[in-house]
Amino acid sequence: MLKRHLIAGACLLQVMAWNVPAADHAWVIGGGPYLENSQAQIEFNINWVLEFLRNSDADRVIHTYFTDGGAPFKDVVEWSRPADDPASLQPLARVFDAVEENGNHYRNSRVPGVDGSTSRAELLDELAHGFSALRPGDRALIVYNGHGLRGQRDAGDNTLRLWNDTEVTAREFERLLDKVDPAVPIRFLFAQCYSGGFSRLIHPGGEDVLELAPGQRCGFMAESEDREAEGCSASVKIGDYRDYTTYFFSALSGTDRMGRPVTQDVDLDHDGRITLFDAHLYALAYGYNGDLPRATSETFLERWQPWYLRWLDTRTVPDNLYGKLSRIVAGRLGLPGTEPALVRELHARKRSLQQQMNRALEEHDANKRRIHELQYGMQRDVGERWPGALHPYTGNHRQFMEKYLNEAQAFILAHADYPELRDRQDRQMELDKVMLKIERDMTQLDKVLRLRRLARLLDQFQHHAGKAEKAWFRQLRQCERSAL
Amino acid sequence: MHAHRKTGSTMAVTALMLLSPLLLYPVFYLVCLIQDTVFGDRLIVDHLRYVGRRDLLELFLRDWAAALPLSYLVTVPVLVLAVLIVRRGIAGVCTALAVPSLAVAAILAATVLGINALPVLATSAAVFILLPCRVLSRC
Repeated sequence: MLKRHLIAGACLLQVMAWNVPAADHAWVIGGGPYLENSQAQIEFNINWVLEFLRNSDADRVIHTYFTDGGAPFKDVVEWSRPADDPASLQPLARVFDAVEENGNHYRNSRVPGVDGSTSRAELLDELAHGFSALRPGDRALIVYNGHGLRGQRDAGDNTLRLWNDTEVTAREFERLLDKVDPAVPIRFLFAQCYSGGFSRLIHPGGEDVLELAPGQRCGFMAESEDREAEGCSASVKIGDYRDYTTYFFSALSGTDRMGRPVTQDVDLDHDGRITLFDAHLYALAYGYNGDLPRATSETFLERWQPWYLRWLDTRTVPDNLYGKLSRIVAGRLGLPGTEPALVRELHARKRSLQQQMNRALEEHDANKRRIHELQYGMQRDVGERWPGALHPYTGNHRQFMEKYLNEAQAFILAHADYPELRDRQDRQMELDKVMLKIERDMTQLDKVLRLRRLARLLDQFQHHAGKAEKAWFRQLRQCERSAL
Repeated sequence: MHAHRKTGSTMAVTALMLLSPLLLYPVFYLVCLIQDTVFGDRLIVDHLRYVGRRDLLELFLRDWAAALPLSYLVTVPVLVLAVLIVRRGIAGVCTALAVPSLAVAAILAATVLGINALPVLATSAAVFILLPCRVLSRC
């Protein structure tokens, strides 16, 4: 009797499991590896993505992992320029090389509904559990917004930088994806530096092969495996942050992070639907930042290209999707519409920008050396009068801060070298912005070249690829061309 | 004396046949470089200037290695043909090439039909190394 009940119960559970409705799951993972490198700009992006994901589909199951997992400690740093007066301690900070730190404001993160920390052990455990629970009919989306590092051995060792200064490599992440039922499509978006290494998630073992791993995997990366992303630039501090995620989700939501409507046509592949691939193309065509993004189908094409086609005919641009996009970007940049004037003008601009960058870098280095000289001299002068100023974390320093701070800051402000130090430090910050703009302008030109190359590559692929390779490519494109 | 000269000549021609295919890809690359720089998007120069020499060198070496089997397949028969024409005349060449040509045709047919590339390449290498030796030993 008991046995019969147990069998009936098991059957009921099985039927219930079958009847669990299919769901869309999104894993949103973000934040820096430690407080000083966990910029509020990342948090803003994550919150914006979360808000959009929640509003676009109320039934979507969202798993959020951010820095320390909602612990009541400070885990985000926000930078703002301090007032240049003694009250903000800016004169003292300028002399003791703490200008940047003096603008930092630390606080607890404000990400709603955090499920856990991005600390390696916890995150891997949670992801393994979550991925194993996916059933046929479900769909998975993984969004990472944070920092990354380049691998020592190869791109498969490129990493995500996780909380407590831990890391996970592309290879390790690929092993996690093996836990997903092959019938479940997995789409991913990685926006960190060197994120191109994560294009290997579509290949078995995360290796540099053409073969695709079982299942349906595809994704989008902000950068190549060997280039830093916008998130590693000064913009992540100065509030002018617009990375790949910013443009990608603008295309999907129809408004940008500031709430302004997207005015361009987002259906760039003209298939009548707005898909993840359209969002990628939009970021390529209209994003003005330092990222040169790529889709897994594009890295697949690059991996496929045989040696005898690699440098062959780099002049013609077939009139396919990428060819059209290259003309859109060239037009946006005001480049000539005809050959060979376009390429000549493009390279002339690149050379000019490179020269500007070299000059800015030279000035930056010279400025830095002079700033250190000035700081050294002024620290010596301050130290002669108030030795406690030179020894932080001591009783002497406390005495200095309590009794002589105003006197010392007045001395610094009246110092003959102070105006030069202030001007050079301000110039240094200006130079960061100048170099960021040059980097972004260079990237726009690189986009034209890359799109032209992809146009040729796609054309070569259609003419020379084998049946199996074409089937893999179709599989990737089908996955990329899915709706959010 | 005559035998010495013949052996020396045979060694030189064999060395030429083994080494000249190595140069095929660098020559091909040079032609591509000129075409790309003068008429194209200047991708190679761009790569060199902005991505880095090491990266470009790695790519070059990888492509060179990938190009070697085809380089041998193309260069050795051409050289054999040239040597035969020089040493035996057109009529002799036609006779000498009948058997190896059939072998090449068989290999090409196997490749087209999608037969595993490794034995095909091994057979090709054997034929193209044995062929000049057989021909040259008669010269």
